[in-house]
Amino acid sequence: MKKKRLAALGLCMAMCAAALSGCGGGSGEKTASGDDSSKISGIVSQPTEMTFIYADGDEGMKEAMDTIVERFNDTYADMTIRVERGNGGTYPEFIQTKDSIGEFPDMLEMRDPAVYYRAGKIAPLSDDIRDLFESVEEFGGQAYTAPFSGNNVQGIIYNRKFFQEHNINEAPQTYDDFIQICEDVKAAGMTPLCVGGNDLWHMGFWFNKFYTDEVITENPDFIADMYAGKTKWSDDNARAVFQDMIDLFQYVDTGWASTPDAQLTTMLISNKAAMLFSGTHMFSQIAEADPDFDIGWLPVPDKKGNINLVGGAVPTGWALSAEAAKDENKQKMFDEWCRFFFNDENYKYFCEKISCIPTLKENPDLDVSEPMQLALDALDNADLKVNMWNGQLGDNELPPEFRNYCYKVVTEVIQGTKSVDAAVAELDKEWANETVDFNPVKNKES
Amino acid sequence: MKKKKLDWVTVGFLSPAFVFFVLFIIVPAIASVYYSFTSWDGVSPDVKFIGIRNYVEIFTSKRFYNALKNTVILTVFISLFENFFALVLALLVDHVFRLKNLFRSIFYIPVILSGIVSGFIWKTIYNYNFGVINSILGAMGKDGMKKDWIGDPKLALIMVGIVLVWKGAGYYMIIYLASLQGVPTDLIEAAKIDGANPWQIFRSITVPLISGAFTINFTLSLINGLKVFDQISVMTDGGPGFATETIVYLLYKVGFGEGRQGYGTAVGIVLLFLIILLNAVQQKFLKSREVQL
Amino acid sequence: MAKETKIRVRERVRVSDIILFILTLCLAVLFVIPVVFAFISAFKTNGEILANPLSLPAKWSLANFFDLFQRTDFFTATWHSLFLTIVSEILIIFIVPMGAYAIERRSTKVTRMIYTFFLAGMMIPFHLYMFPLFKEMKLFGIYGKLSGPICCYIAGSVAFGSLLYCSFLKGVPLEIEEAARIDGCGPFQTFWQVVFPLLGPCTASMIVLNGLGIWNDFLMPYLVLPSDRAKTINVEVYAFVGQFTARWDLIFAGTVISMVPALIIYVLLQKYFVKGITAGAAKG
Repeated sequence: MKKKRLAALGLCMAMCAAALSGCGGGSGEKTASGDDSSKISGIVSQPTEMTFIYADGDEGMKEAMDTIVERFNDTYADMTIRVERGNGGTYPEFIQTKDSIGEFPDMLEMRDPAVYYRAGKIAPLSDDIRDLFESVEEFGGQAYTAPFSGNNVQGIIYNRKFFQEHNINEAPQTYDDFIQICEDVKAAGMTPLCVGGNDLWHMGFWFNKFYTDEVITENPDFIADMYAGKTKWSDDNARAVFQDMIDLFQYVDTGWASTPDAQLTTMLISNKAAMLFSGTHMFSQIAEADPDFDIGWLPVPDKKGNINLVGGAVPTGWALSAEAAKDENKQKMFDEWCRFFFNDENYKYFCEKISCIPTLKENPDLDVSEPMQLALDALDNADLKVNMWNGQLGDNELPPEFRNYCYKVVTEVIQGTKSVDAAVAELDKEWANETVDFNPVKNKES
Repeated sequence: MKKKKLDWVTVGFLSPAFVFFVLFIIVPAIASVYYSFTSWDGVSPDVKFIGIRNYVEIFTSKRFYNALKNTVILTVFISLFENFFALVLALLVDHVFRLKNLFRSIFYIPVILSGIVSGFIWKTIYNYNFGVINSILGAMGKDGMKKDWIGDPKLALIMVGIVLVWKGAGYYMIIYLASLQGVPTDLIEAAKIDGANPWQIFRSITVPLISGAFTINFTLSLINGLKVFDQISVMTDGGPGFATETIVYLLYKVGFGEGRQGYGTAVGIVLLFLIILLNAVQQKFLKSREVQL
Repeated sequence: MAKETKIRVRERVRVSDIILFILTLCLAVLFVIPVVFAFISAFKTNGEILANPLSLPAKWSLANFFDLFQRTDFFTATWHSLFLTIVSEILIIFIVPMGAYAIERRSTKVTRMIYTFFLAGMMIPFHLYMFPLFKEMKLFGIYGKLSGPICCYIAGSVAFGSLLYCSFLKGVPLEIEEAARIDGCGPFQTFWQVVFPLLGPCTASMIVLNGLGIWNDFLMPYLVLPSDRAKTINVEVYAFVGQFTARWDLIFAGTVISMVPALIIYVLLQKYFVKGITAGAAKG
């Protein structure tokens, strides 16, 4: 503060300060103004402020969260949430960076509760909060995250108008049927698929699909067996994943490696590509960008004709930092935030805004769009429902850095700078490196 | 006038600068040497001393050699082309018969942009589906020449290099220009009278006389090339795969993203040695060349 | 050096002159096009940029800028950028010339050693010592505050600044200082009232070159400033690239706001950029 005054001596400073005080008040200390009498108070013993980080890479999510946080701040007189901005990029890496520089937030969207549970960084949910949910992920008998969204079902989101105009099959029964669809789209003059490879995590959608089809259907404990030394990335089923990626990517838009995830909506509505493999959160984004776009949705069967979908309990959810939990007021405020967020009005708004699957015992009635209904039905009838490969817990949890490393190697394989042989050998080596310090299976034995 | 003894006035004048310099550069730099022998993760209070394990890991990891290779390619590429363009621009500005100052200003403009801003502008220019280059190629009907400029692992590093050359050439141009204007005109006039052609004049008069600028510019551009960070971070994030991961970027990724700051600082120490080595070699090589000419 | 423009006898414009001019013009256009492209794009709608990156906007409007300030905390970012640049500059101009003066005018074995030490320090890359630096900043309680980067900027300017001021001081005649001393001025007074005003051009070079570096810095504010508010313009632009990847119109508006002050300063104070660079290079 002292420094600020000092600087105001400068001429330009004074000018800018005037401009700032005129228009810049929107961001920070809003609570001071306005009529507080209608607001709720008394939950905390003194005014409490908490920092909050969530993954704001997705515009729908960002807008929904900003709205609900603003509602929260407007509802309570003595509790304020300050949203810290996620800097885009890879969310888990971002949180790791915040942690490294000692800025772990009071509450956050937690995607790797296992890692932070072990590090003692997050606090368990209060019992009455935990009771809100249909199911929660547990560690040592306690839940650490309040899941705000069911597993994001992944499937093909496509341009239905284009498919119908060219009489393209909309219900593939086998993986070969799906490849045929790609061929048909290509023959009809459009690029079949777009992928957002500029965001590393986006590679996980297709990788996870093939990994589930090729590996998990044969051996659900592949990762646990990796830790035990019984399996390898150079095994035939794991190698097949890489070959599948190579084969599929011949149908993908040439610019995929430099295309960010957020540009895919534009790709789809500007007819640069006909299909996209992603989660249901895309529905609302597409609808917002172009309300007239006819969204189709279909699941991609595996080679045997089974439908394997991402589903089940999720580890991701709101979490309270262990540090903040030491402060009774912050604990109370976090609980209140959960009750507020998951109340009928806010949660209905949230689920509809980002097209997610609700997680409560008593969910609000949602107005579901047509493609969303298709996805929900497919999930009900799926042959296998399984978590993302990097969302597994216990013995099947990945070493913390392995996922990103793997996606980079996959990128290299698809681009042809690395052979499948070299890639799986490198992954085996990286696995050995990373599991020197991290091995849930071996650690349990000893 | 010059005193042999250090008096309080000197101390008073010099100490603020000295204190800041030592406190915020030298002390952390020395601490780095220590941390490079530890498994420090940046957060936990206990810092475990692990001897040379970090260094062993650096020199046995493919990822480091890949980063080293990328760094060398990028650095050599930008110092060659920055200097080439800088010299060409300086000669043009020096000889152009109108609007000398305007041209000089224009060539310098990219220098004043930030790394992030220049990186973003070029990222959009390079974009495969919506970028300027591919639009122009499309409009000319040359769809076959469209490339995924920063998504293609064979091109990405060079494309980042081009941005840096574009951004840096103006800076070195200023130095060449100053040096060119120090070349005495009468020497050139005399050569002209003797019937020397422009290339001969350039080769035997200009080049030797501006060799000092060569040395400086190569040294500066090489050191700056080793430190490139902002553009990579905004354009490719080290990708696709590991195609644009340089030493500095590796250091950052491992140190912050992966919480291994001990290992990160060890990479930093290796980088420092690289800079010192490069400096020494360069000074020797170019200095000896200066004498020869 | 603009002053030293060579006098050439030009009776008539030769063909080679024209060719040279056209060549220079082409290169100039190539160099400036990306910047012009960014400027134009900042006034276009997102749809226009994507559909036709090279066209002029259908309607020149400031909508992107309003949108940017409305949707993001860009005011704070601009304020932080200005604050960091200006305060650092003031302190640098207070600290560095005094140090250089001591090195140059009160030269002893120790000051000469310190000077060499400063110059050697220029080789140390920031990335090498950033991790321990942050730890140290936490220790001093300046981490997450604007004073953190300011301290580092001062430290970072010492080496280059001493070099610049020392080489400039060599050309300042000693007689004036001696006269001042005879008039009874103390060393401090002599420096600030007599010598410092003579260093004007050097100070100007120092301000523009260093100021540009601070204005354009990214990594330090990105990692050091608290994330609950916007950090600096550059960090915001970087964050937008991740956050609004699909909204190029907004990002271009941000880049223009980052470029404009630097461009204005550059146009006004061009000769000091040139002087600073050449003086630094002559010595470096």
